Amino acid sequence: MGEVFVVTSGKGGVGKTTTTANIGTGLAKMGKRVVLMDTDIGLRNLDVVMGLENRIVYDIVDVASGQCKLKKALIKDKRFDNLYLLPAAQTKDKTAVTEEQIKEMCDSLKEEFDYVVIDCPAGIEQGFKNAVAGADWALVVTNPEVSSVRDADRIIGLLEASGLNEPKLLINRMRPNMVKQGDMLNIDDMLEILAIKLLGVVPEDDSIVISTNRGEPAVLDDSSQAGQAYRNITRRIMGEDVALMNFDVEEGFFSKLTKLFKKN
Amino acid sequence: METVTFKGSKDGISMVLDCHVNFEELCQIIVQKLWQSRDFLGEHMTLIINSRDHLLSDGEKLALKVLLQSLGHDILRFTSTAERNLPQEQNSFSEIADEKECVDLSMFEHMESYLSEGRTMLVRKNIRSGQFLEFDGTLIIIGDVNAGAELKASGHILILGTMRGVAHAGCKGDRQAIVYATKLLPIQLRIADLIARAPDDEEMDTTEAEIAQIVDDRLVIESAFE
Repeated sequence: MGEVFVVTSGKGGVGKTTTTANIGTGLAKMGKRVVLMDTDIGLRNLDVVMGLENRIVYDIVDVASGQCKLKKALIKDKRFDNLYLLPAAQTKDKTAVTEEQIKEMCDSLKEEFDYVVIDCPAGIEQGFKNAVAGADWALVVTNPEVSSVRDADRIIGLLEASGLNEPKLLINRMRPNMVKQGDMLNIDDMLEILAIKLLGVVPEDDSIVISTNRGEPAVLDDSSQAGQAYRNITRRIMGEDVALMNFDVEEGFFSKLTKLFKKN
Repeated sequence: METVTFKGSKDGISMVLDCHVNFEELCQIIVQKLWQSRDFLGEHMTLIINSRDHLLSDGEKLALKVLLQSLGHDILRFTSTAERNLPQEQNSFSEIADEKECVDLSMFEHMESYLSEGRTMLVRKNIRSGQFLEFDGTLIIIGDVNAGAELKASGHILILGTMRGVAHAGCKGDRQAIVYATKLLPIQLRIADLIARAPDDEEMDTTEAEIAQIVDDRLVIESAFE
């Protein structure tokens, strides 16, 4: 029996879809059987980020309405044979599926797969309720900024109300040098406010933009720092103990010089 | 002179075209003109297409024929002053259709029979992501169809603009249906029971209008102007 987790955030644009694609691909790379489920009906993106848009024939709404079998709607990834995508519909809206239908799909998927990763839409309305309906646990994505943390806090409250008690936190788009200068929230500040377990920190990385546009998840790029962070997070999800990455910024010549003088 | 004008003669009504504008624009003006003069000219005309000193290609002729038929009209023949200089130039559909070696024209025949049923929807706007159009008949879009948009028709689908979305022509199983676009760059194309998808690695681009159709059980895309 596999496990189902939902990637959620409340706020839009923090990196839910990127996280879903990277963690899912990372798990598949480690040999796990994985399904990515896009519940952002009407604004689907996961298929584009995965580079699978041109393969979509049936979608989650077709499955919910009984027009096609769940297995038939699953799209096999072009890189891994053990990775599948259940795409959202683009021409419908969030009310086209119900919480019960999603739960039913999750229950039958986790019998065959090790992980079902659900990409949740932004917001707290029907789309959110659908996305969390079948999940065993939740991964809350946030950025190191006040509004994003505020929305994450709201989401954690809603998750607890719907019985998902121990959500885990992923801090995305961290810029270590800005944190160092005190221009960005640091990890400890965020953990103090949100008071949930930290699963990982992903740094801001240009390679994410490139890989997203190419439809190739950054987790497969060995030279990408964000990719390394996602690989670590993947291993933590699989139960391994992996230390947090160290994002210390290389010090410039002048700051080294100042330090030298301060010592004397 | 105007791009599209009508002239009466002893054979019938001629539509005189100034082909110096690009073909897509020309089609748009034709649709506009026919619509404006529908009270005056009537709804079911058999027109002679006079392209003056320009020689229309087979693809252009096909596109015009489909366009006019979809608007309830028919084409008697094509003429041009350019053609008169060529010896024994065929200038009527019925004549050309007899020549079996002419590959393109067998297509005209079945299109005629299909389109004689005549139901057409004409849409003049851009179809954006998440928009879905379905029609029992032929669907003509004057505008662009973006990625994430979906078109479905039991007949042909013609796009006078760029096609970047998903189109399903002949969705009730008609394998004779075609998809035509000024710029055909679809994510996915379906005709009847066949599906073709965009290549994974190459960037698609095209400089000319193309037609997708089923040839020998395969969905193929070819230049509309060959």
